[in-house]
Amino acid sequence: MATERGRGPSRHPHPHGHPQPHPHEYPHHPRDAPQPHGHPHVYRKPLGEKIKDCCRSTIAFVFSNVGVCGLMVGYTIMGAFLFSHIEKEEEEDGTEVVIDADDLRNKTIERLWNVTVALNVLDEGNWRSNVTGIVKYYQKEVVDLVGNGWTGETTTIKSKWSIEGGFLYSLTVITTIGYGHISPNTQLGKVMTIVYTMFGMPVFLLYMANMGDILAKSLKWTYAKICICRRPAPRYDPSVAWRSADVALRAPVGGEEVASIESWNAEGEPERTDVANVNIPITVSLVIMVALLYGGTLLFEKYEDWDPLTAFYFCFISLTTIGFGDYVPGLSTTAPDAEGDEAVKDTSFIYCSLYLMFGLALLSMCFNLMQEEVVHKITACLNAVRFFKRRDGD
Amino acid sequence: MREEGGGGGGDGGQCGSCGYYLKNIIKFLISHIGLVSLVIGYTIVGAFTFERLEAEHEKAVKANMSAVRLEVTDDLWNITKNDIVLNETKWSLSVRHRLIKFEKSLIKAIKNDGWDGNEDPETRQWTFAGALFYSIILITTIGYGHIAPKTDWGKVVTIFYAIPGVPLMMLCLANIGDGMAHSFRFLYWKVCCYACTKRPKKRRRGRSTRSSRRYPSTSGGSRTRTSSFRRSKRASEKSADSHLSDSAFYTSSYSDPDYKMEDDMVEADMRTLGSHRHSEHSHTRASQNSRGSDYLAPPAKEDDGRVAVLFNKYALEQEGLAQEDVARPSVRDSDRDGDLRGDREGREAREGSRRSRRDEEADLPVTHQPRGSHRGPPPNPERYQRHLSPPHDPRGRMSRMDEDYYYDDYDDYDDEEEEDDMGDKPVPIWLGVMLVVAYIFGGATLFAGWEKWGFLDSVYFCFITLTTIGFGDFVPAQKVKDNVELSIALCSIYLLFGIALLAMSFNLVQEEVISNVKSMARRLGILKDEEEEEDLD
Repeated sequence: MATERGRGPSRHPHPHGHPQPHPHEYPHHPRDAPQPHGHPHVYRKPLGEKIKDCCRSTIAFVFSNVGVCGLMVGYTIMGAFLFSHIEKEEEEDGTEVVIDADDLRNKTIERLWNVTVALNVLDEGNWRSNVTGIVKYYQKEVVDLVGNGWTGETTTIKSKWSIEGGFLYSLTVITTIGYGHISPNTQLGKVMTIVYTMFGMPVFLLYMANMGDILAKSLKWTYAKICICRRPAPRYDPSVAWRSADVALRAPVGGEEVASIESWNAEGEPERTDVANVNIPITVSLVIMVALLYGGTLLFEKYEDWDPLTAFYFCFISLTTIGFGDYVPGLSTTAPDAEGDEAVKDTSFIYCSLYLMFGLALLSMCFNLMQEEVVHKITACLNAVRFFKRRDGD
Repeated sequence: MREEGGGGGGDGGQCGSCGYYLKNIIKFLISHIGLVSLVIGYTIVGAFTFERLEAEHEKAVKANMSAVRLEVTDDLWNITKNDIVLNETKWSLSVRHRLIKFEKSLIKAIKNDGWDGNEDPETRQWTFAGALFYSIILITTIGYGHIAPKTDWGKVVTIFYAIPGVPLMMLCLANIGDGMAHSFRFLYWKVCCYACTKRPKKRRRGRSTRSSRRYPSTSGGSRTRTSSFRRSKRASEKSADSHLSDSAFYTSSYSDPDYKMEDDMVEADMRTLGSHRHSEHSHTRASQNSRGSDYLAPPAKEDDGRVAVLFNKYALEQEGLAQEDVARPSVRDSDRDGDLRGDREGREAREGSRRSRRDEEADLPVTHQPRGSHRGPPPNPERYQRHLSPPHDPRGRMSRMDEDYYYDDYDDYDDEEEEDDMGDKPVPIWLGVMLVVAYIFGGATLFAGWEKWGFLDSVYFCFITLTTIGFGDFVPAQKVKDNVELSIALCSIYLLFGIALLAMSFNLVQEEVISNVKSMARRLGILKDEEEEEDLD
């Protein structure tokens, strides 16, 4: 990213004589910890120091943007393997249910036959009353079986707790969406879900914060570029001055952006205010959110054969992490044909997971930006009010 | 009221402070209750709407299922009738075919149309209670899915209902959590204080010197001053606790005639602390500046002679504060707000919390208007930061203050900790965690009893519900046929209170957690390392 690129040369105009802050001074200002300008590095380091630095940089990388993404994906994959391993043994239940259904059907047929045969003269009324009773019982039993997880297969099905199923499950757990189309049946599975969630939720929140940050910066940079392209030659703009005054009053998001502007200036771009201070209007954020939902609608409409409203409803319910689970990609809601086609599509989990991960990050970015904008507006109003009040007071 | 309190009479002071205390409790309750009743009203409206939209469809589905079943019987009869000679194998095959078709339609009705398996039109899922439960589950984003809208209109209304509903609920729960955190901190202080009042008197002698020493030190810390100033300026949750403590101070301070000079300082401390307490959880900068101008003119006339003496002493600080107010607040606010807010709702750092934060700031004028005019009682002392505890009696106060003074020295709290109102003894992390765990286990016991689930299943259910995951594999009040409304009501109360409790414990421990994580990160070199990495880019 250009912001990264621009950071290097222009950020260190200080000579080596610039005093390095003592490490112990550092902790006293945790809020100011990520300083935009750094201290000059010492060029000769002993080997031990280098190794330590290496370790530190690895850890820092893990907690940096790419690292967090990788951590999240890795954690989900680990969960996939873990849960599918734990729950697969219980999968006999799935087969059992199919066997039970078969049994039920056979028994019912037998009973019907007996009733039919028992009557020497086929009296409709009599026969009907008997059969009605049998059919009612049969219905009740089928409903119970469905409650136990039967989805209408006549042959044994691919288990729900495959790696793919486990992956989607882990993802829904740590995002707290929680569809519930599969849930752990074993005691161990339940305990592991609790433990997994306790560690997984912070990982996910970290991911969201990080991704939201990156996306926000990218968007601001893009937006700034677009604005630059559209604007004429540099001129004195009172609103620009206002905004730079405003910078002093509010902490810019991502101080590195300040440097990127300096570097652009060095490359001959027109001078303007800091990218950090670019305010994405609320409408842009809203448009992005709606576009996200609409994109998801198209995607799921195509892949899942849902009607548009259902797809939109699914996207909305998923992204707000409500997650009813009445519609889940990859699970056909209609009973499969007697040919026994698969109840779970293999690859659906990939695009569903990708959509969820990207969508939630984008949503977090949008809310960040909207919040910034609102805060900025309020601060600007207050500043104006205070300014005028003071002038009146003078 | 302040005059009465300062009047030096025990009874008059108590009456006045009682009334004052009552007034503030009422204000506190009204602001919180306003939000809560808004949420309740919203869910009730939702319940009516969803019931209206979905009940008809459910009845239609039930009627349809009856028809389907009769159709099966008819078809079976036709199969039986048509064969002149009844061949078992052939007959069985046809019947099997028909039964499979029947199964499919049953399953489709259950999965697609939300049929509950019961043909009786009287036992519906979409009763008022059911719809109310659905609304609550929807806007807390738990989303069990045991009932879900099946009509098109139901889905559309769900979407539009959730858009304002989710932030509203988050805001309300965060609000309640904040209030609870306040009360809990206060209780914790009281308990700690009580444990500390056993300290001997010998500390008293050195007290005055220490207190006088302390004031310069805190006044020297401009950062603490500005932050406290800023915080006191912010419209905060006006918890009754702080005013409770205020009134306690007034009554207690005048019950001990022993202290003269020390008492004055102590009183001022008490008042500052008290006011400090209720500026603790501020949510806005909006009212900050407006109130700043209000308080620039010290209404010394409100205070009695004793306090006026103190104001002379603090006059210098006051001016300093007034100047710093203008320059610093926004930066600090955004910093601190960003930090704290970001982490306070760390658990819900996803959209919900951000929305609620945004709404909080947007909603602030509404919630804080009534408070603004009533900031009377400790106007000036408000601005002076003292990290003092609210002890019961003067003796306890003194020893407490000494102890806290030492405590601050011993513990390596950074400025952020010092700026906390109750900052001297933040609630330990294990206590916050224990609260949540106890609540989960308590709820599990209850649900295991009511719903006849296993204990582990109940724990699992409570955990899944309180983290708002909400699978829906265990849902209360589904098997119970009688007292369905009662079960639903109890379950709703449990989960709403539980989520508020989670918010409260996050509130209580967040600062501890942040400082711990930061110190750990520093030790690991992450924070320092970022600088180096940036250098190397």
